[in-house]
Amino acid sequence: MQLLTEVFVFGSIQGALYALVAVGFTLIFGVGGIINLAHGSFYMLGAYLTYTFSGVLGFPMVAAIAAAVALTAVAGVGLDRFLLRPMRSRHEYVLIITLAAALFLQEAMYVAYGPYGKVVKTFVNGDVALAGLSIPYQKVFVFTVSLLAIVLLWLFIAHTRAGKSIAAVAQNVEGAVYVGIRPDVVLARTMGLSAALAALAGICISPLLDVTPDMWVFPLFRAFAIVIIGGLGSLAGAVVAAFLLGYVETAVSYGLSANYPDLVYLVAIIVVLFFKPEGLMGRRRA
Amino acid sequence: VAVGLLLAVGYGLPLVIDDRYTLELLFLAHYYAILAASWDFLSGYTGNINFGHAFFIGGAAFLSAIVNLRLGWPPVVTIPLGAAAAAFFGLVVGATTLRLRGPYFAAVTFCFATILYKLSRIAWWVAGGEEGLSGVEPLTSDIRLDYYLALSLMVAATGLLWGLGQSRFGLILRSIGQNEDACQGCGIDTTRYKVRAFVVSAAIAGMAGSMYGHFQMHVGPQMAHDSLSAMVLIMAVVGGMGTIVGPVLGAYVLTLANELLRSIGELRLLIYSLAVILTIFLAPRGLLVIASRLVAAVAPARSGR
Repeated sequence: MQLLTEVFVFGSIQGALYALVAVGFTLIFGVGGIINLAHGSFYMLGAYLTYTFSGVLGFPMVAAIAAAVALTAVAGVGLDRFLLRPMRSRHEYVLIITLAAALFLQEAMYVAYGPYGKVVKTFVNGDVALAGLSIPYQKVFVFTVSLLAIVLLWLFIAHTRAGKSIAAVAQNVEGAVYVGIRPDVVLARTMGLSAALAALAGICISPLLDVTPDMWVFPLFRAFAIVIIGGLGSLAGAVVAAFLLGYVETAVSYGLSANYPDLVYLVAIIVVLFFKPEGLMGRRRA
Repeated sequence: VAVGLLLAVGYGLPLVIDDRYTLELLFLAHYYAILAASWDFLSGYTGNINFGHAFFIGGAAFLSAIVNLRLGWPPVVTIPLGAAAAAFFGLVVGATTLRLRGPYFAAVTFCFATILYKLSRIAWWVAGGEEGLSGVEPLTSDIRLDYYLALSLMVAATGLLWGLGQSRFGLILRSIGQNEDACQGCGIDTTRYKVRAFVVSAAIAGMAGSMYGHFQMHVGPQMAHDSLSAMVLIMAVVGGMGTIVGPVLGAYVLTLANELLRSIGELRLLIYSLAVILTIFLAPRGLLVIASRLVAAVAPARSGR
């Protein structure tokens, strides 16, 4: 029973964080058909910028977080505007450019900060006792911020003009153009949003791990697995799959070893691709 | 004529160079040339980008090292075995993902390679963990023989891929890259051709990986690392995607550049990733175009004299 609670609590935290990473990844795919291999780099950028603003420049934590999110969003818009927009029609070039951007950022961080892990101070100290478990406040923070961000994203898309235009382009680009929406603007906005969400995830988790130049691979791999299982382009599918994988991963690492969840992912991906390629909640594309 | 000249230089070099270090570097260049050409055969021609070439390279290298160490089979057997295993996995991955449009192929190749890398570090009882497997039987007894073997395999592999590229098979692959719907409209089963191309690509990468493992006498997790997949992709893109010859050229240029720029260390990848972006924007056919323009500019001047 104790084990079940533990898997449930820590699985939920893990799942919320994965969801936060994956929604941005699936959003930019749904809207622009872009597989952004630099998505993990936004996560990394968020963590490094938080380290820079809070650890090096001594900003108060809230200001550091806000600055890191904003700067990463600008980087996202820049990537879309200058590197991806001119190549929109060639999807293989878009893939390669985002990979090159990811490698570039990795090496840039390596040159700027060195190969050793940087440590970010925890935002909130202490533990909370819940159902016989002791959970660090930082993890509660991760969970709360992730859920809050996802709910806000949903409200934004469903209820604001700017958000609705994103949904419109995702549904039908030509239709969106006819009602006066400029797809290029919407794509840039979506990329900025997607980058900000990934950065937020990287920021929240940064006190719990070492900030290193190769930390972008891990979330990218997770995001890939989640959106394939959840259904590419589907926000709800991404959230469901993220929590599912959060629980499975926590259960497997409690039951066997922290090394095995990746294999579970691989099996899950292959099963999904064989039997239901559109994913749990995806639309089948023509 | 140019090809014959290059071949003569390639085969003649070891007679002039006696330095082990240089020969090892050239061996590495041949190895990368095979990898880049094999990557190009599917990804360059059809535009299905393979992000996990290291899965086949490293997987085959591990397999042949394990078979060699445990069963004592010589490289003559283990290298084809590595290639065959890579081909089999190419078939499995290809048949699952190449029938789907969209990013599935890129995603799954990436995931397979990431997982092989993790597995090779975790499963120390099979793969030696962080340190990898040492004491693998050397390719041949002499560095020059090694060199000739690598060069010959490179020539054979590139020749085969280029020949296939000029055939009906290659024509279909390139048409898929241009417009897959039109191909299907002509009654071509595009999935079947893509899977076949991927099997060829994987088999050749596996062969090269096994060869390299024997040459190094060591196979470690880094042979399955993302950075190897990325390096092969960079070489192929900078050399000129979809031309087979271009990626080979890219492999030689970048392997040598890598050595020359050793002093600036980590900055190299920074330059390469910029070079990739610049190539795509300025000259999508890559170095090959620049090289052929140079030849065209020099050739008339010479004949005029």
